[in-house]
Amino acid sequence: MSNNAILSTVLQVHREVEAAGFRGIAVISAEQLNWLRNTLTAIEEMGAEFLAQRLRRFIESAEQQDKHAGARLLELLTTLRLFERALTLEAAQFQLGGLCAVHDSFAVDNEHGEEA
Amino acid sequence: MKPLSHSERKSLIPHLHRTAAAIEQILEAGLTTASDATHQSFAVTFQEAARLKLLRLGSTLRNTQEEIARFVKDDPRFSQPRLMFFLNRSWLLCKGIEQSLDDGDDARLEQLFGTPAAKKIDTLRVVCLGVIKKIAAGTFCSFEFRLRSLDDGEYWTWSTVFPLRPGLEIPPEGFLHIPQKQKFSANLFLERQPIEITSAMAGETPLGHRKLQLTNESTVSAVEGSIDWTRYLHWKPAGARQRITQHEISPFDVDVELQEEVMFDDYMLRSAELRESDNQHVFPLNYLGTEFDVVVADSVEGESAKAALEAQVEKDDPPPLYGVLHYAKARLVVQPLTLFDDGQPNYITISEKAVDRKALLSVLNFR
Repeated sequence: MSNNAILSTVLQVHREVEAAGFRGIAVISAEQLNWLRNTLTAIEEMGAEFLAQRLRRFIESAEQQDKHAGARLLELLTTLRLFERALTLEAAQFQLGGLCAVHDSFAVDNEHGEEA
Repeated sequence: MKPLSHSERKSLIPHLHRTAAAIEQILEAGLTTASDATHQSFAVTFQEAARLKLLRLGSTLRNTQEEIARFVKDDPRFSQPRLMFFLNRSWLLCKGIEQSLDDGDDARLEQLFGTPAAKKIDTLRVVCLGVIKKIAAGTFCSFEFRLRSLDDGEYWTWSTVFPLRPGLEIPPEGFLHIPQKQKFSANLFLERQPIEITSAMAGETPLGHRKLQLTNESTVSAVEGSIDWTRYLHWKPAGARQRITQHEISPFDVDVELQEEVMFDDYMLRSAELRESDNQHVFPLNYLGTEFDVVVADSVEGESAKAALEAQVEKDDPPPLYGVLHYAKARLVVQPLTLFDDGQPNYITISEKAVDRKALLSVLNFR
């Protein structure tokens, strides 16, 4: 799975979980829980174990409507935000890495041009 | 900041505990069930944070309360992602501070309080390279001046905020003409002259950004001297890349926290597209083969910058563009601030529309 596809999944989960918190975990639908379970499988396949664990814990709490559901949702949102940030910075580092190589070669060319 | 006393620590813990629990309850039952008791819990903890000068916690709780109030009043400015962001941040701060107090971990407490240490500075000479303008309609407008020290080349910022009355007819730039407490007007920074600041404070964020804080004794004045703007017309991306490598991600990071001032001197700008999800116009910019998103707000806030950039689209030899780079959704995002036409800065975020002096006077009376 590409970095962009992973990021897209993470952002979608983020939106869905935020919406669930806004409406209230007490009224989360079976359809939403199903979607989250399917996404959990996809996240497990990505190898993002910590994120999968947080999502699993939230799904279990939401299914049982236990007293920790709010805290589980907030822990999940925190993890999603960190995950998204890590992906973003990795992508930025990669893009700037490519730019640095070109930038340095231009600088060398300019120096040689000036010497000539 | 001064460490909290034993009694201050003891009094803070129950407030933090109640507020974190109130946030969890909101999410369990939904925002429509937020009760007076919830509001009360936020308000009391906010007062306690203000009393103890816990600025980060205080401002986060204030933003959370503000967004909940917007929801309750059915205010069109209400934003669900913004509310969820601040609820999450408030909860994290409450839990983190409570845990650190329990553990007696003062180093982590300092980080969580987020109060930058401030040092006194006698004299500082700067030039202004650009201005970030923010407008929250009917609420406030703010200007963040990006400055460069003429003495040692260090990066500085100075910010000023003005309240906005709903229905106010003058452009936000009008406020730049209003005298500050220190008897200067903020538009002094836009005169393309060296500026001297005396008797001020320097705050430094954990990421090393220097923020100028003016005191009642500070003076700000233009001084004689020519500015060699060409010394600012370059950027080394290697430094930006290195800072990403060294950056430790924190749950309190916001997208614009890891910022870089950038200068593009040989680039191609293409026509903007409207990105409705972010209320932004995005101009794709290619610099040495790398793509950047140059963004301006789809509102009055972005009008002047958008017009200035549109004039540069598809140009073979556009003037150097200065802006602030941050990283969001795996993209390199640039807020454009200045075009260096004929070697002089053209502050493109600042509208050149004439200010109605009569309307400005009424604002002065209001203040």
